[in-house]
Amino acid sequence: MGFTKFYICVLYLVVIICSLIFYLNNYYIIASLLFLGNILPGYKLGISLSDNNEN
Amino acid sequence: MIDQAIYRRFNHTVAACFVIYFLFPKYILGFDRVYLVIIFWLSIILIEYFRLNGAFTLDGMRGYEDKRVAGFVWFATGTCMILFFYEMGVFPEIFAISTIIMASFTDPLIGEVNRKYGSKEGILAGILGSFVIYYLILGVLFYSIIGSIVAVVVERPKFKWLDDDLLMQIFPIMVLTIFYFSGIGPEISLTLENN
Repeated sequence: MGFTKFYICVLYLVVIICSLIFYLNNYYIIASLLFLGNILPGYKLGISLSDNNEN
Repeated sequence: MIDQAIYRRFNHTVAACFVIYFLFPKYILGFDRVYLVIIFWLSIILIEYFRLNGAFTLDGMRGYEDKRVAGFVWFATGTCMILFFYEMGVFPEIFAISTIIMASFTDPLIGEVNRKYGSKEGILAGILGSFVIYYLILGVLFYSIIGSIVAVVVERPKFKWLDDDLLMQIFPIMVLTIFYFSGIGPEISLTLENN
């Protein structure tokens, strides 16, 4: 479980960094797609993780 | 335990970030960047080999994937094939980028809608989702319609030894490329720079 949490944090970082790089290179559509497309599953997973911590 | 289905979906959508590859320099430490694709794919195969042999377990696996090649291997294989053939000059850059992003988002979208609302709604959501992604990146109605229909059509059939994660990438990009190079499809800028 510890590894999975670490891996999820890496995935969050990957999304943010990749979106940022595309944004800085003026590829706004791709940057937005990467960011927005990951928001909902990322948010839901975050909730699942915090519920898991509370239990 | 975390929600395994959500974990799987998030892994799937994060795979869209593979397109960062197109911003890498052509040569990394003197080596062509295509070697990165080969090393990455071999690493995935190695991980899967040890997983199937019970060396470790991974979160987010489906029950039937205990004895079967997992979805992430099929997806990585599809993406690596696209990147490899792009480097060989077969697939245009813009089709490669749009198809990888489309497959990353559309497959989990269809899965979620299927689960919550039903199969027909899943098809509609898949066509709509993939069309929007294609259209936002390509900006051409013709390729967006063709690409989205092909993606959803190949997602439907279920094979034991061939996964939709692979088919949803290879078939749409092949069809789009054939339409473009045969002259049936309209002109489009093939590189990221002009989009």
